[in-house]
Amino acid sequence: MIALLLGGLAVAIALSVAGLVLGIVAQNGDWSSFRVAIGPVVFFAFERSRNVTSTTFGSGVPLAALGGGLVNAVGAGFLRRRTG
Amino acid sequence: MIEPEDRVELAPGVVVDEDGVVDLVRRATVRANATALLLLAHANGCTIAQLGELLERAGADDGVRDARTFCAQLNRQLLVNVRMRRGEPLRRRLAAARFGVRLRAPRRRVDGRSTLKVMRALAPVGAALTLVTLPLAVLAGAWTLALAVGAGVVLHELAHAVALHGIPRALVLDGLRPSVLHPRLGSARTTVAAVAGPLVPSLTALGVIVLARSAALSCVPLAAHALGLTVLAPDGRNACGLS
Repeated sequence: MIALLLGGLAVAIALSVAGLVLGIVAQNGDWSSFRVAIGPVVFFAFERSRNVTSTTFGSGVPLAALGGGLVNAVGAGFLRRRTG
Repeated sequence: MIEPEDRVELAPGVVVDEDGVVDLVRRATVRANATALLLLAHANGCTIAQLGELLERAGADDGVRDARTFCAQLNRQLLVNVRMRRGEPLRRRLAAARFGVRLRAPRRRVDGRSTLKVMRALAPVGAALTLVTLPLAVLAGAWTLALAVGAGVVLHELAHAVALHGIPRALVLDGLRPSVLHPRLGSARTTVAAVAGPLVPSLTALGVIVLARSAALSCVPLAAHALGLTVLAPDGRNACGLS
């Protein structure tokens, strides 16, 4: 359970920082609107209108966090079995 | 790495009594033979050469060699600190590197009873890490990245130390890799102490990005500490009770 939580937290923090940095870089670099997505699952969406820019976190971030947590839990289980 | 002119002293939190060596931080007693106790009783700033003479008087064939070997072993167990002259570790490393040999400097155990002491011991490590990463950061066009690398490591270990408040602790400096030594704890306290290290710098990164957008890129090294929460890193494994 701890491994699931910590893995999820690690991925959530990493993706949140990545999204925020990407948004700021896109804003400063005058990038046009874009989305980071796998199929229908959106991670970040950067939108630029005439006067405003916005960065939105999509459902991909919590899903990736859950995935990261599961992978971490599986890894912890593997290590626990190996160390006895 | 250890030479005859280096000075040896008991690490903070280590005492010698008639039963052996008592590590007050790890709450453990290490049994030691008569020669070991003799050497440790004189590990109060004596040089390796002086300890060697002592061993020769006690019957050793090559006292200096024995003292070096013995002190290296005790240093690996974090029971003694080996003090060298300023600049000497770097000079020895460079000298060995010419022959393709990679030397490992002795580890140093620092008194970590107060957070201020931990911070003072960590400051040079943070500064050194900043200087080491500075050329790359300057090449990348963001010198503040180097500052974040150094500050991140300081913040990480400081968070461990604060989470261990009220528990015997010592800071261990293994080159540029600091760590916090403490006794075995209950599972909840172990998890809190292990998680605090990676969590504090990564949450600091998030906070700084939200408050000061111009510093966003510099916060990436701080945010990278979040990976320490996973079982890929020692802290993550400790938090899950895997070590």
